Amino acid sequence: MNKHLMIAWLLVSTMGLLGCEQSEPNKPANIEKPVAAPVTKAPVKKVSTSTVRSGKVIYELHCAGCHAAGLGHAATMKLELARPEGMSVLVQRTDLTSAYIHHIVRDGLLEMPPFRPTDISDEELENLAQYMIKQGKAYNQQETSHE
Amino acid sequence: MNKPLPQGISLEQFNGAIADIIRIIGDEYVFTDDIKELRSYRDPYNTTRDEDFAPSAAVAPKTLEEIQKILAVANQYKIPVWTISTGKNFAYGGAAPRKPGYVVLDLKRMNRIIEVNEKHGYAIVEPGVSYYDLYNYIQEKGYKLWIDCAAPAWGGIVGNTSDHGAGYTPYGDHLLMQCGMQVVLADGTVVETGMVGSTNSKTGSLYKYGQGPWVDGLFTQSNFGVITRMGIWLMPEPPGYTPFMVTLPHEQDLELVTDLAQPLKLNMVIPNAATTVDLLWEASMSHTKAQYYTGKGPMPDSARKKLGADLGLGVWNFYAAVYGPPPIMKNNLDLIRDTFSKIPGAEFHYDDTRKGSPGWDYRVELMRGKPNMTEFSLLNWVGGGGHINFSPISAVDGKDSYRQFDMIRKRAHEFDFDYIGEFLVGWRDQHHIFMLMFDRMNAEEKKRAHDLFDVLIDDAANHGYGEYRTHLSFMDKIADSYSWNDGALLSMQQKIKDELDPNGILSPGKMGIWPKRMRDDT
Repeated sequence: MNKHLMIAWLLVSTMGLLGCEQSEPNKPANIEKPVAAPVTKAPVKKVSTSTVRSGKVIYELHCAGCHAAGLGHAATMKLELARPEGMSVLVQRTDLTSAYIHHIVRDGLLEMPPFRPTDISDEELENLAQYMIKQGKAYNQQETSHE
Repeated sequence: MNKPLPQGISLEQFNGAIADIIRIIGDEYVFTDDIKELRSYRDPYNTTRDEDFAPSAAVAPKTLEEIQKILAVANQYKIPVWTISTGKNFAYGGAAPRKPGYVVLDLKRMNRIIEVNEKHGYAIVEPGVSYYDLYNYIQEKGYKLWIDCAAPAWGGIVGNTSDHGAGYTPYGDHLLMQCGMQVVLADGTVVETGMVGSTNSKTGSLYKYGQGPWVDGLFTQSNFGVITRMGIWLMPEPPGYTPFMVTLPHEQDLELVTDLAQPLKLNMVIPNAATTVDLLWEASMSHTKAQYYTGKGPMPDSARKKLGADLGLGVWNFYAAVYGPPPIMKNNLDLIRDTFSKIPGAEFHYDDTRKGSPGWDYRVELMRGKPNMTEFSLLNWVGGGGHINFSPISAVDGKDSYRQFDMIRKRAHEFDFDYIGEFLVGWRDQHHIFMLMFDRMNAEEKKRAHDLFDVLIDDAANHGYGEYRTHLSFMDKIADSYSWNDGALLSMQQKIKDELDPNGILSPGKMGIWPKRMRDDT
């Protein structure tokens, strides 16, 4: 055991030499030095300043981890056991409506937690709903044409 | 349900404060509708009632200056704000505040990846950056760096690190790998810790300590400031990676595997955060309890045996990996094989035979810092999704591990729950995670889970074990269990709290730390 350990130590101790030369560490960018500012009293109108992401981006970031097809996806596994055949993968279904998707995303359902408006804005949620519905239709048309 | 309001604040005062915050950030990211907006700020998996943790509002600033101005309003009205980053702290409270009526300060929109430095292996990120975000960014840029993510990986670097979370690569102790942070104090003062505090420093993400007391830890699991930026070290992508699993057939093997792993961990032959995972945790990645047992209470031994045999799993399953050039991996793997082969019935498993099994696949990804959500499959075990984690620390010591497991298992069975758990093996300690699963739609089961958790804190304290992190419901009780010298530690934390946050606006009650004006009420 000692011999093995010694070899391990020697090899590990040389690993640091393997890296190649690259950039110097940057000075941390934008180190603001703000002073505590008084609260502004000017009214601010509701203006959307956010970048609205597509339904596909939202699906891949927030949904696919649990709902994609195949093993290792918690929600797909659950729906496979709990629902009739063909209902386990959300983007392969034709029964989902925009209103239902909105409700479940904001409220959660059993194992699924709710998603906050800072995770997914209302506009992005509608994009997501339309994306999922469209994907479901496309999948089923493809399936039908293969029959 | 009446509108939840901060304690001692009238609806008129509350509306005044919200109007002031809207003047700062506009109304797009100020949420006050209890039904349409704030349901998503609940903890869906709590063991009591949603209204125990219902916020009055959530506000989501985008910049440091907006945070300063919001804190000024909170100070003016003495309204408590509860800071969250990505808000995925499930099993410990999610995005929900400690008490009803708090305003959630949601930092999800502060999501800039400020720097990734490939040569020196670090990133500087804002609180809203999730593990997925940083992973995807590094992939897009082609940097030869790994992240270390929690499981499930939708959480974020700042939130998980500041809650002392852990991952599974050699960089699994997240706070150990943290270097430098930017913090806004309750009075709006911005502090940069470590080297960044010095003029023109280029080493803010390279050296943690600067000069004088190292204060970064004060802002973790605490309520002394709002972290707005953090440096985190990233592991260079190694030239090789070999994950492995050792299945162990007997319950008592926990003792053996822990004692044998201990010198391998301490000497870094096993460099990563290894895990010793129980049968049911492993099985839940692909199966539910009802597929093997539909009776009441914990799964009986007969069903457990069949489950283990069907899935090729041990009663315990030890996961780890070796990294580096092939000669290093071969040398270390030989030593590891020799070591664990001393356990009768131990079997080694690698990618060639296990690939495609969800339990294996997600661990292989986690031990190389690839985010995934597979671990959420645990929530399917009984169905209904409810879960809280009881998380005591144990030594990397066979007898100690077994004693702790046995203590929890006996109580869990007494309360009709399964023991589902894992030991995350660090250099010198283990995070023992008991995943207490229950149906969140079943009020009786929720209460039983709550009662079990409460008893476990007492049991652990009686055995000399303390928990490293906990759910909102149990923060006070666990803080009280760190009671040496008449609770001198908590008293000191409260003194710091009162000094840094005299109006007690920042996350009151986080980890049992209450500001002066609220201490008498608790």
